Amino acid sequence: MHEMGLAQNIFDIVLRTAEQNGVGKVLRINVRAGQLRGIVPEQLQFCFGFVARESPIVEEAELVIETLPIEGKCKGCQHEFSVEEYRFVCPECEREDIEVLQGMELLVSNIEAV
Amino acid sequence: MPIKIQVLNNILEINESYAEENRRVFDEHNAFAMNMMSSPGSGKTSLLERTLERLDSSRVAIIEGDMQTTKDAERLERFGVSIVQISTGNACHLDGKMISDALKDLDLTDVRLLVIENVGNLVCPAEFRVGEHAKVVVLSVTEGEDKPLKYPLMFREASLCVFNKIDLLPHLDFSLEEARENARQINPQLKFLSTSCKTGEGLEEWMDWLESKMKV
Repeated sequence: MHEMGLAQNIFDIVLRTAEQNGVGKVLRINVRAGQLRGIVPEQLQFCFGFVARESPIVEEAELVIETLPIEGKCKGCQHEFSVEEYRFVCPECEREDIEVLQGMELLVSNIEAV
Repeated sequence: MPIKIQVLNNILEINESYAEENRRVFDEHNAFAMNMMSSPGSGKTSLLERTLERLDSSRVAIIEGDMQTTKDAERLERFGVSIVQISTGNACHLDGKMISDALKDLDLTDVRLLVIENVGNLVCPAEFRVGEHAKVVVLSVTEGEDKPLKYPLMFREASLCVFNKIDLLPHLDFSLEEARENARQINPQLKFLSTSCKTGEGLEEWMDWLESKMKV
């Protein structure tokens, strides 16, 4: 949810980066979103399409969203695993004390520009 | 030839920085900040009323969030507690900046408990840290045992889950055990309490939990 607000934040980050690096046009924006964030990529891209029009530097950029699956590590036996269906239980030893290694990210990773 | 520029910026960095600043203010005043969340009508405000009947109001401050009306703040004002009402308009959750702005109108001197009563919504409030020490989710027993599975982020983020309106259990097929199991699947560290604001059952344990979090 809140893809519009996130789109605006992405726009601000990208425009700032573009201006700091003196690029003329951003071609592609790579975003990493952990699955726990519940981001709907199509909605985010849709919203970003509107927001990006605010600047000729950003307006044609393709927003690419990589959804990162939830990865956990058992604090007991140290086993690392993919968390399926939000079950935070170690498949090896069934312990429930799990450290989330991946799944809560929400960042602009990099941009490609000319 | 296109160039690649590393960015690595958190998209929620602005909210995070407000949240951290809020947290700093809470810690400076030794106030335990609790973010209370639930569906609309689960009983957050009622639970707060019962709480204020049992606590010295001068030790408590409340930031009340609703989309419309000041009804909740009006219910709580009669206890003489410091309270700020945020009417979000159409924002479905409170965020770090809203709390930061509200803190400008609150004197936290001697406050040991700051309650942030969030907008009734099981989805969005969990996504936005506001600097709280703990998130509490209130789930009334009329809502169904499956809600923790349907709203994983909310139950994952919370450290306490309060099952409310337990006086209604004789009229329902609700299984507290199943609800607990579902919630524990998402968050094995989650603690549970069961309360009724109507009969007073479970309120002592709720007060004990609050007192254990508040610094002397």
